[in-house]
Amino acid sequence: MQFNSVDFLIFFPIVVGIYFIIPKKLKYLWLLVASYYFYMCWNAKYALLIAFSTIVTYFAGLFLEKTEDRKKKNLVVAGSFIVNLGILGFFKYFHFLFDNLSGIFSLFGIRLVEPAVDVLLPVGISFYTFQALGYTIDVYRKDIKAEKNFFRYALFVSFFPQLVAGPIERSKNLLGQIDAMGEKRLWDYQKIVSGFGLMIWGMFQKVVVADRCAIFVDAVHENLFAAGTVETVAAAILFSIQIYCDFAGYSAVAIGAARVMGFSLMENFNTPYFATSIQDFWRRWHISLSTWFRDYLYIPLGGSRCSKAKKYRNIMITFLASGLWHGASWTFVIWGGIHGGFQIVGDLLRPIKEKVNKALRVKTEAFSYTLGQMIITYGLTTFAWIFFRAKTWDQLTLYFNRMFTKFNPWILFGGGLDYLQINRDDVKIVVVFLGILLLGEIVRYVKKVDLGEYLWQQNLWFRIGVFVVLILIILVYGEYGIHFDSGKFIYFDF
Amino acid sequence: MKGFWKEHWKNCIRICAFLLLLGLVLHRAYQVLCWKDTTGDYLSSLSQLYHTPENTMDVVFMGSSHCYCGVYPAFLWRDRGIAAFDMSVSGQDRASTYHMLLETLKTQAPKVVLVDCYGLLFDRNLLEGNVYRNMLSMKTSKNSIELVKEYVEPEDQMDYLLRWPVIHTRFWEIGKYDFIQYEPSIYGRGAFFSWHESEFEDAGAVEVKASGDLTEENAAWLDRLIALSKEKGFALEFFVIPFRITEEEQMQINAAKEYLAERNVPMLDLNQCREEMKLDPKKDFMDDKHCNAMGAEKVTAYLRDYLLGRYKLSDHRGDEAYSCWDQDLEWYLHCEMKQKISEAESPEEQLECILNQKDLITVISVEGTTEQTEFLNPLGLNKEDVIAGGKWILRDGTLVKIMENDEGAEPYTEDLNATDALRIQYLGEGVGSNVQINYVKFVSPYYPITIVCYDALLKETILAIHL
Repeated sequence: MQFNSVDFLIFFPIVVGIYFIIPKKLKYLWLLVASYYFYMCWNAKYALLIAFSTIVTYFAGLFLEKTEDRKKKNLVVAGSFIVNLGILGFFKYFHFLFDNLSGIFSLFGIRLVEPAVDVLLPVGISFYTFQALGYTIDVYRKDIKAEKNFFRYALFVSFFPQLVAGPIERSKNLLGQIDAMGEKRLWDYQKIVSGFGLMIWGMFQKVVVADRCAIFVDAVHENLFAAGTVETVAAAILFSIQIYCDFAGYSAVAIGAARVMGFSLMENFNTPYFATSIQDFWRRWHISLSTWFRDYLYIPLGGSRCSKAKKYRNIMITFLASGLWHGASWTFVIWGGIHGGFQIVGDLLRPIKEKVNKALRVKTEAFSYTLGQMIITYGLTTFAWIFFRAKTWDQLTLYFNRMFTKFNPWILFGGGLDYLQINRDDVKIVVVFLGILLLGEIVRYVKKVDLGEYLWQQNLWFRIGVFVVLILIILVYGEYGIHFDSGKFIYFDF
Repeated sequence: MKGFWKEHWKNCIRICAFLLLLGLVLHRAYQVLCWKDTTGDYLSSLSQLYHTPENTMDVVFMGSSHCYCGVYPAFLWRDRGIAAFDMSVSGQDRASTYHMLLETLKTQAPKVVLVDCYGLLFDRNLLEGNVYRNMLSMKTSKNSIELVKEYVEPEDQMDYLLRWPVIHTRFWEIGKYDFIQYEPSIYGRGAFFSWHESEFEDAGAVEVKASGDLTEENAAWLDRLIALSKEKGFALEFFVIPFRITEEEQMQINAAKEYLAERNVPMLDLNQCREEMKLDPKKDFMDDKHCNAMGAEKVTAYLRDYLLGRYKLSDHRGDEAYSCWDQDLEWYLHCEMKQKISEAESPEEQLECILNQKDLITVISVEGTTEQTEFLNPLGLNKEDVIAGGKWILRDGTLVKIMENDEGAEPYTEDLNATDALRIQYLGEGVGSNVQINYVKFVSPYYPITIVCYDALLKETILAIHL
C-alpha cells in the first residue's frame, strides 16, 4: 500500500479514527495490527521477516540489559548484526554478490552456476533492519533501557508511517513515545492540522513534482542514443529534483501521518539543495540515515578525533557503506565514494580556499558568496546523482559521452525536443510547480519550520486556502491512476 | 464525549468549513474535468438522456457508432412525430448496452427497443477512448458500478469507480464546453450528423447464408436482454445497421438470427434490405462501417415504415413536453444548411442557403465602389444602399443599418451569446471590412463587399463571403 494510493486514502482515516476512539491501553496494539496490515499489503510473506527481525532484536535487547559480561554482550550484538544483516544481505545483495563472484571466478576460468533462487527485495527491509539494529546498539551502550513489552517493541520496528521508507527512527525518540501513549493526550488539534498540512505538501512533492519530472528524466534515459548536452544536463537537474521530491515527499507524508496521531518523528530533510558544502548537504539530506551512519559507524570507527588519514578512511568507509545501503550495484557504491571524495577534497582544499578568499578579498559573509557555495554544492550533488540514476555501467558511460561530446543548444528551439514526446503543456506545468516547490523550500529555509508547522501558524482562511489549492493541484495535475505505473517511491527499493 | 465537544466544537466547525469548501471546489473541478465526449465534439447521448423529460421516448435504439450514424431520430420526428432516441455510444459493448438500457429505463418507458447486433461482433473495446465513453458517461449509481465491475479488469476498477484517477488527465485538453454546457448535449437525440462520403464498390459478405457458432457470451447477452424486456414490458427487437460486413461477421449475425427466431424475437438485418432501401455504397457511407446523412435518411425511412407497420406510435409534434425533438430537428436543419453552404459552388448559391432561415445573424458590409449591386438584392439591399455603402445586420428577415462608413463612427458591438461577441467598425477606405467575431477578423481590403453569417444555434460562423 503506497501513500499515493486509493487504498491508503481509505486505510489512513479508518486507522486514525479508530485510534482516537479506542481506550489508551489498546492504542499501541491497534497501531501494531494496522502496521502489519499495511506491510502485508505488499507481500504478506515478508511480514515474517520483519517479525523475525523484531524477535531477534527484542530478545537481544533483553539479554544485553540483563548481563554485564562484556564478552557475552559483544557476542549478542554480533549475533544480532549477523542475523539481521544476513537477512538484508541475502535479499538485497544476493545477485550482486553472485555476479561479482562469478566475474572474479571467470578470470580463473571457473564458471559459477547461479542457483535458481528467486529473490525479491522485501519493501523497506533496509529501513527497519537499521532501525532494529540501532535499538540493539542503544541498549548495548545503555543509552536506553530494553523494552519489556514485546508488542510495544514490535510497533517500534513496524510503525507504519515510517516502516517502508523511513525516517529511520531512534529508539530513544520513538520507543519513548510509544511507551508514553497510555499517559499523554494524543488528540491534539494543532498536531492534526500541521500533520495533515505536511502530508498534503509531501503528496504534492511526490505526485506532482517528482512524478512529473520523472516523465522527462525517463524519456531522456530511454532515448539516450539521441540525446546531447542539453537533454542530459536538464535530465540530471530534473532527476536531482525528482529524487529529492520523491524521498522528501515520502518523509513528509510519513512525519505528517505520525504527527496526526500525536507522534513526533525525526526530521529527514532540511532544504538540502540550499546546502553550502557537501558536509552541509549531508546534514540536510536523509538526516535519519546519515546520523545513523555517523552514530553507529563513523564515530565507532574513530570519527574525526584521530589522524587526518584515519579520518579520511572513516569518511570513505561510511560513504561507501551508505552507497551500498542504497542499492546492490557498483554505481551506488561509486556514488557514495564520490560523496566521500567530495568531503575529503573539500577538507584538503579548505586552507587553500581560505587563502584565496583572503587574497582576493572575497566577502564570505555576503549573500552572493553563500549563493555561490549553494550553486557549487548543488552542481556537485547533481553530478553525483547521475551515477545514482544509471542502471548499468554502459548506460552511465553513454550518459557522460552524450553530456560531454554532443553540445546541441539548437535543440531548445523550434520543437527540437519533440522527439522525447513530451507535451509542451506538461513542461509549463512542471515549471509552475517547481516555482511552488521553491517557494516552499524558501519558507522552510527562512522560517526554520516544516510546511505543516508554518501553515498552522498562519490565519485559518489562508491555511484552508492553501490546503484546498494543494489538494486540487494533486488531484488534477498529479501523476496517478490508469496508465501510470512509475508512482512507486524510489526509496522503497533501498 | 461531552467534554470533548465542549473543548473542540470550534475546531469541529473549522474542519467542517474546510471539508465543505473542499467539497465545493472539487465538485466544480469535477464538472469541468468529467468525461463529456461520447461521439466526439462534446456530444453525449447519456447527457441527452438525462435532459429528456420522463416517459417521453417511444422508441429507443441501442448500439454503437453504427447506430448513431445510421439512425437519425430527427427524421422520424420530422416525418411522423415519432419520439425516438439513439441510446448509442461509440464502441457500446454487450455489458454497456445492457446497463445503458437499464439506465434509460430508469426514466423512460419505451414501447419498443431496437438493439444493434454489432455488439455481438466484438468482446472488448480496442480503443481506450471507447472504454472511457462507455464507463464514465453514466451518472454514478448502482447501475454504473455494476457496469464497471462487469467490464473493467479488477485492478483498474477502482480508478473507473472513483473516476478522478482517469478524468484528471483531461486537464490538458479542456476547452470552452468543459466550462459551459454544450447545448446539443441537452436536446440532441443521440444521432451524429455527417455528410462525409466514401466510395465502396460492394456491401461485403451480405450474401453469406451460412451460420457460425454463437458464443456463450453472445447467447447470454441475448437472453439477458430478452429477460429484461419481459420484466420491464417493452417490445424488444434486434437489428443490423448496414455496414460492410465480413463473411465471419455475417455468419455470426445469421447464428444470432436463428437463435432469436427460436425465441420469437424479431431481428431485422438491414444489410439484407440494401436494395429495398436503395442504399448506394458509393454515396451513402462515410466509411466502410458507418452511414452518412444520406444513408441515414434511407435507413431511418425504412425503419419508420417498419415500426409503423408493427407498432402504434403516436405523433407527438406540437406537444410541449417533446420540445427536445423540435430542437434536435432544428439543429439537424442548421447542420444541413452549413453542409450545403460548404458544398455550394458560387457565392450566390451560398447566399441562397441562408435566406429565410431562423437563428442567423448576417452582417453585410459594403465599403468603396462595387459593380455587384444586384448581388445583395435578395438580402433586402437595393442599388442605392449598396452605392452609399455602410454596415447592416439581417436577423430573422429584418434588415437594420448599423452604421455608415464614417471614420468617426463608434464601433458597433454586440454579445451574440455568453461566449461570442461581434464588433463592426469602419477604419477608413481600403483598410478592410472590419467585421470581427471574437478574435477572428473577417478582413479583406481588396473586396468592397463582405458578408458574414453567424449561426446562433450552432454558435459558429457558417459563412464568410468577400466580393
